[in-house]
Amino acid sequence: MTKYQQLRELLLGDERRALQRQQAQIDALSDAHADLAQQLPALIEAAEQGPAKPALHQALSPVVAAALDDSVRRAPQRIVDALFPIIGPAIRKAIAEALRGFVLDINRAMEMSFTPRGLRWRLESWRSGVPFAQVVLKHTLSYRIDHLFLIEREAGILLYRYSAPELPDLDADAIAGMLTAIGDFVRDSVQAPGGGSLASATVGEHLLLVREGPQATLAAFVRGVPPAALHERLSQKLEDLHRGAAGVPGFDWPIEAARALDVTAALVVRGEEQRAPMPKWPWIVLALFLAIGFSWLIWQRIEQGRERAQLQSIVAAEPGWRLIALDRNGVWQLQLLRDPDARSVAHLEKQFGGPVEVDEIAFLSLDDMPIARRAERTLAIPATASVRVERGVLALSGEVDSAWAERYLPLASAIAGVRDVDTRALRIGPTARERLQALAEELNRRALVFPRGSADVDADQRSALVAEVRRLVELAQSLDVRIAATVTGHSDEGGSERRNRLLRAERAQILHDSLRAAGVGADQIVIAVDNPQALAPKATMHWEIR
Amino acid sequence: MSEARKICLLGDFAVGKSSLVARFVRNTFSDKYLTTVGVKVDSKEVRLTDRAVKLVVWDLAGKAELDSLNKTYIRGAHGLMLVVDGTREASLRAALYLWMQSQKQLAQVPVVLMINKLDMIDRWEVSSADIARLSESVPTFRTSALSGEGVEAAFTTLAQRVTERP
Repeated sequence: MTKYQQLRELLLGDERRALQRQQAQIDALSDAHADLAQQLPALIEAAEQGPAKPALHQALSPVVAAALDDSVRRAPQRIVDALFPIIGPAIRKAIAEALRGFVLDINRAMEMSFTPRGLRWRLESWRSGVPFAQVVLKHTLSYRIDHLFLIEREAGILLYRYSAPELPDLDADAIAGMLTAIGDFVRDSVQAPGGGSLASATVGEHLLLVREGPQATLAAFVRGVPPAALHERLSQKLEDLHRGAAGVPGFDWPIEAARALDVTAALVVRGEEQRAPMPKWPWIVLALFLAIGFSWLIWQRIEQGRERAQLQSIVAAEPGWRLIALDRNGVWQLQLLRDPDARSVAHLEKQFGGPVEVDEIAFLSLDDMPIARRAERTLAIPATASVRVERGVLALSGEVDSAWAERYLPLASAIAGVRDVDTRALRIGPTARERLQALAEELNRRALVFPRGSADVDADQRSALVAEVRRLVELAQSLDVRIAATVTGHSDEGGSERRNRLLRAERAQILHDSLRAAGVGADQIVIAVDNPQALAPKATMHWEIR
Repeated sequence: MSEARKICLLGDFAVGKSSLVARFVRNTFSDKYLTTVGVKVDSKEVRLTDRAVKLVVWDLAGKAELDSLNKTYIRGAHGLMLVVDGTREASLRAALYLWMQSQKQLAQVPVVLMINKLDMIDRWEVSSADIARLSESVPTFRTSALSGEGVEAAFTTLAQRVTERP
């Protein structure tokens, strides 16, 4: 060591050593900083595993958030590029879910369009005015959740279970485990990119819906046809649970799940129970009513046919009637041509045995019976004569007087429908007045004959006279002619005057009484003045027609 | 609802796992799942002295090592049950290898070892010395699926141990 060096050592030795120590520290620090970049990941990892984990999170959280925020502001494209592989599948998955539900609904509606059930729903839509699609949805949304399991994602342990009350018990823990195993098996078998999983399966009448979350899986056994909204609802409930669990140490999954999913189950079950199958008896009753109604209609048709034929037969058989129209509107209605001289339509109702409405139109019939009635009416046929028409030939028979014949016979051939008149059987006699006159004259020539000197008369003789006088009285009454008789009693030759006078009076009185017995009024009989010159054993009468 | 714990049965093929499960639990699912899905899950409630615990038993199809699907199946298990065929020493090594493999997947979970086919003890290859040595580190039971001997005790022990853990 030179003196200079010794001197420098004496003067600056301590400072130089201190300087060297500081330099060494600086170098060591530099070396340490240089290694920090390599050691930092390991340090953070160690902190993440150790008790400093919460402190590390707390320290890094604002820094990471601020850095992310700053990065989004300054270079948004980088964030977009970074998220692109995640956002794309997420959007596609969401769209696919929505489309799947939509297509399911459309398919369902299309399937229902041409089935008997679909036609029934179309009728309901038409009747209620509700669009067909809504009617289809209303019916097809009928479903029920029979079992709902919330399962721990990793271990497959059952966290919560809901089962419809009336269903038989099942080993839910084993099922939860198997569901998890099968889900893992499917995922492992398919090895779908992006972590595909079992989302649904059909098991008999059940549809199994599975929604997976990071910590728990929700599995629902649904009976019926659930709407797409149920998928979303289950997903939403699962997300709500995970949101509640995030950042909450000791999150009680069973309790929270019971709170959240009980509501879901209740909402799903309430008001959407499978409709009980419709009992058969209404259909049987309906079929019975239809059968009765159908039979009644057939019977009505047969009965109406029978009644129609009966009415046509009655009308056809009745002379002077012609049927124009026959219809039934609650009651039988006939439009009828009827000759005024044919029978009344009251006869039709009586013969048919039920009510009928008849619209009559008058006409002249050429049937024999109306012609005969017309002839009777027109010719004033007397009771002693009669008419008969056969094929338009008017045959007169019986007895008529000459006055009638003189007045009516010329009219006979002019009666509508009469083609010829046959009078061969008609007898034309005197008039009634002539017969009255003749009878009166005949009686004027008759007398009651007594035995000589007696006023006793033979009963047979008296009866015969009474009968004759009665004919006269009746004929006079029919002609409305007044008749009167003068009765004269006669005496026999010889005998005393007194005796003869008495005998004349007695004989006149007996004849008077006989006339009275024949119906002659007392004011119509006059006993003639006693005439002693009239000598004969009888009593006579003289009739006058006034 | 009692507390549920997931138990996985591991062991080589034909060691009698399914028979042990059948002896212990009520069968809900068919054994065909073992050949199709590779696992069958059953459950059984075990009554301990102070509580009841429901064991959800995952019976994994017998294999000498865990494949990726089996690793998925054992996730979240609260306990393991290693099953060995006493008549085949190789099955003991397979069980221990399976246990070792599962350690990467699971944290320190309670384990019970079942040396099965006690009813054929005269043909056992697994020595008593080995069993005694194993018993020092893991509860070991000699069982028979045929007679049911030791089965209940093994499951109850495992149930006790898994409930002791949080």
